Amino acid sequence: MKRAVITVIALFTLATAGYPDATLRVGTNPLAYPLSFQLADNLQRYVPIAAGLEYGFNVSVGYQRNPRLAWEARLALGSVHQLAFLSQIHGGLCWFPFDRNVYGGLFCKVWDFYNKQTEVHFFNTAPYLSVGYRFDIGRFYIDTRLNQTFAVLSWSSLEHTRPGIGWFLSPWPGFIPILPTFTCTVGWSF
Amino acid sequence: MKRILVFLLLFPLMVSCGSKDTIIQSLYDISGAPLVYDDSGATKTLHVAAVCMCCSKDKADNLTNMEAMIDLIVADHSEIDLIVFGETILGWYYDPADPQVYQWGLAEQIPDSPPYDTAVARIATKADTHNIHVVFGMGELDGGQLYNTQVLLAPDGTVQAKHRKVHLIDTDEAGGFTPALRSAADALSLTITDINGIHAAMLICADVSDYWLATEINERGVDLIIHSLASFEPAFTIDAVSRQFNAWEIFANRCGQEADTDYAGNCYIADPAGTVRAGGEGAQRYEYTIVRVY
Repeated sequence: MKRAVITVIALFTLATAGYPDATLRVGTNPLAYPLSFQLADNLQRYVPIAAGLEYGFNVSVGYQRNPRLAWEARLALGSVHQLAFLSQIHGGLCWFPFDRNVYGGLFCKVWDFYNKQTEVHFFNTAPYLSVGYRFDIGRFYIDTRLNQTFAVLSWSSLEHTRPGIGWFLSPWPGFIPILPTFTCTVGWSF
Repeated sequence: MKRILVFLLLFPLMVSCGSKDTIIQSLYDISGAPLVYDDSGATKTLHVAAVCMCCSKDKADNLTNMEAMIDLIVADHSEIDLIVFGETILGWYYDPADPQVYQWGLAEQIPDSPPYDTAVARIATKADTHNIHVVFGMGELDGGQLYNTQVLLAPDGTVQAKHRKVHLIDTDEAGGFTPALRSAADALSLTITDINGIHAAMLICADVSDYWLATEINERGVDLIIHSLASFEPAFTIDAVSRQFNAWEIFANRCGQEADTDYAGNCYIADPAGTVRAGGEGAQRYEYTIVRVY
C-alpha cells in the first residue's frame, strides 16, 4: 500500500513539475464522427473498434508539463444507434519512457449508455492501459494508440438494481476473449 | 472557416442515426459487468424454460423431439408455466439445396381455433395435457403466402397468439418468407399478450433489430420478451435485448450443424438489467428460471 501511495505521489510530482516547453494539445478522433450517422451495417458494427469505441462529437485535451509525463482527458458524445445515446469521459496519464513519441498510458473511462426509449441509464467505469505513438508534424500531431480495458464497475438507474463489478477484457468474450481498440487522434499543439 | 469546422465537429450531436429500419447493436449494448437485479419484492411470477433444440431436417423427428423436451421439462419442473422453442423449429432454418421448396414443405396453416394441422395439433395436445403455455416457431401458410411465425399455445391447447416475423433477413427471403406488415393495428406483427398477468411481447430473431417494432413495444411497455431465434452467435455476458426493452427475455435457440452452419447453442433467460439468470451454449438442453415481475 505504502509503495502504491509513493508511486502515485511520484508520478503526480513528475507530471506537475515545471518544464519550459510545456505543451497543450487539443485534438479529435476523426473516425468517431461518421459512427453517429447511418452507415452500411458492417461498417456500423466493426468501425467502432478502430475508433476506440468513441461515437460522434469528441475532443481530447492533453497537457505535457515535462518530457516524461502528460495528462490527458477525452470527451465523446454521440448516438450508438437509434435507441441509445452514449456519453463518455476519459482521464489518464501518459508516460514517455524514451522520447516524446512512444508512450504507455493508464486511463479510466466513465460511460453512460442511455436508452432513449425506456429512459434508463447504464453507467460504467473501466480502467484501461494504452500504448501509443505520437507523430509530431510541426504544430500538428497524429496520435495513434491501442487500448485494453481490464476491469469494469457498472451501475444503473433501473429500479431494483445493484452495482456489479468484474474483469473486462472484451465486451463479448464468447466471441473474442481479448479485444483491444485502436484510437487515432489528430490535433494541434500550443 | 473556423465556424464551418466547429459546425462539422458538433453536427453529430444533432443526429441520432435517423429512423433507419435496422438497429445495429453496438458493443456497448453488451458491455459492462452484470448487475444484480433484486426481484425479491416482485408480485407476479412465471416459471419458464427456454429450449435449445438440435433440429433434424425431418419435420416428424422434430415434433417427436419437441414432445420429448416438453415431457422432460414438465417432469423436472412440475410448476412450469411456459416453454419456449426456437424459430422455424420444425426443421432446418435454412436448407441451401433448395430453400423455398424445403420451407414450403414444412409449413402449415394455423387457424385461430381447432381443428389444427399436424404440428400445432400435436404440440397443442401437449400444452393441454400438461396445462402449460408453449411457444414455438414454424412456417405458416396463409393466403398463398409463407410467413415465419411464432405460435403461443394456451394451457387449454388453443392458439392464444401468433406473431409473424416483420424484419426478414436474406436467408428468410431466400426461403420464400413474406414479411408481416408494419402496422400497430395488426396483432400479427405487433403481438403483445398476457400470460398469468405478465405482459409479454413476441419477437422472432431479427425482429429485435427492427426500429419500428422496438419503438412500438417500448411505447406500450412490456414485462417479458418471448424471443425465438435461429442464431449461431456465441453467448453474451450482457443481454442487449433485455436492456433494449428493460424487460425479461427468453432467448430460445437451436444447436448443432445444419448444412454449412454450426449453431453454438446459445440459449438463455435474462432479467431486465440484462443479467443472464440461466443460460450458456452447447448441446441440446433447456434453461429454466422463475421470471419475477413487479
